[in-house]
Amino acid sequence: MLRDVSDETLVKRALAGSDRAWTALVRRYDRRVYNYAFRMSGNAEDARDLAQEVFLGVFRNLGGFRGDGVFAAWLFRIAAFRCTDYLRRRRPMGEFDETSAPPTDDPGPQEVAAMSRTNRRILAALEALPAAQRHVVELKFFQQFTFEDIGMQLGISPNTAKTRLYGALKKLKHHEELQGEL
Amino acid sequence: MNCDEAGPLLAELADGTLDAAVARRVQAHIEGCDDCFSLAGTLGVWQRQAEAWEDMPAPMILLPHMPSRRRGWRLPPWPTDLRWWQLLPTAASLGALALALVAFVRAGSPDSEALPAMAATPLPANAQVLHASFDEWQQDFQHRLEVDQSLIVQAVMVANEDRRQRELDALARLLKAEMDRQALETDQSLRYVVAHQLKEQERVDQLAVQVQQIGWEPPPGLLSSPEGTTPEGASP
Repeated sequence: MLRDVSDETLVKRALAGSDRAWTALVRRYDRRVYNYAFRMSGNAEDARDLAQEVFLGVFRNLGGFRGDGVFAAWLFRIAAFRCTDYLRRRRPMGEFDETSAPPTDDPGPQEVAAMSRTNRRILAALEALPAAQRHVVELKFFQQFTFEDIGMQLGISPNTAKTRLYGALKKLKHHEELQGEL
Repeated sequence: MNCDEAGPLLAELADGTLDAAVARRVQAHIEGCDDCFSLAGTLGVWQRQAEAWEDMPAPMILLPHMPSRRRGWRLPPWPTDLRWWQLLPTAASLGALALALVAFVRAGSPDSEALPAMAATPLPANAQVLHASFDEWQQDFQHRLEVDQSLIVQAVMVANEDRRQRELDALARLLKAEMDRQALETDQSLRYVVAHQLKEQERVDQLAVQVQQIGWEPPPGLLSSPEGTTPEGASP
């Protein structure tokens, strides 16, 4: 079964033309990528589009995956790039300023109804963060990458990633809604 | 160690990935600093929050198909430990096959002298009927082809009739405008010449009148034309 096969083996088989391996690879990560996109965009529809774009990017660049690193880190590098691009495009006017929080749309009513209270609380707190800090929080707490991986994915140094997480923690600490719930 | 130094290291302290000496210094700072202690608590809360996130089901992702990259046919690798006598059966088989092929070709080839006789032999009756019907079919095909081509040309002409008509109209308008322009230019030129001549004639008449009034007699031949005629109005 493909369930027990490593990511790297699936990539090799997919590159050899195996649709089954390619589908298994996507199915292994689609939930994780979609939820990542949801937390970053705060919007179900955009999260769907983002997940689609991420896997299209993976499809186009799979030949460039050398296999010398972890596939998940490589995948989330593409996802981080797509999300950054999305947040920059969504900004209504002017240049992208990483120190200010981008405006987010409300998730759709069906998604709100389906979401748990915990998820809503997390989304509300994340929306209070600027995009750059939100990325680091996402990759550190939800994806559990190391600071070296985060730095590579976001194109910053590990120390910058640590500083951004520190700034995010200070903002999260003062987030009233979250504080109330804690 | 101050807050700005200890703060960025809180996550690594929680992960246990810090160097022991640095971890002790960070821990010492946290124990003496309320802000950093509180931030460490927030960090722990968010680590738990991340675990508490309930994943939403992924939507349907439209996947492109992986292009098939089958390798082309290749020769098997040549065995490196092969000896020449191991090729003898294969060589013998190939030789026998070649001999059989030569014998077959020589036995089945027609004599060169028989060819003109074959060419002179009349075709059987059914073959001629077939030949005639083929000729008819070919003529019919050619005719149909010509008809089809003419129909295509006609259809193209009909389809472009409006366009051709518009082009002709535009051309006619252009020609008329050009003719009008040239006629206008000619008319204006003629008017200019006539008006200029009339004006000059008027000046000459005025001069002649003035000459008459002062009673001046021009010397003979001054006002005469090269042919010896005097201009009209210049004579006393």
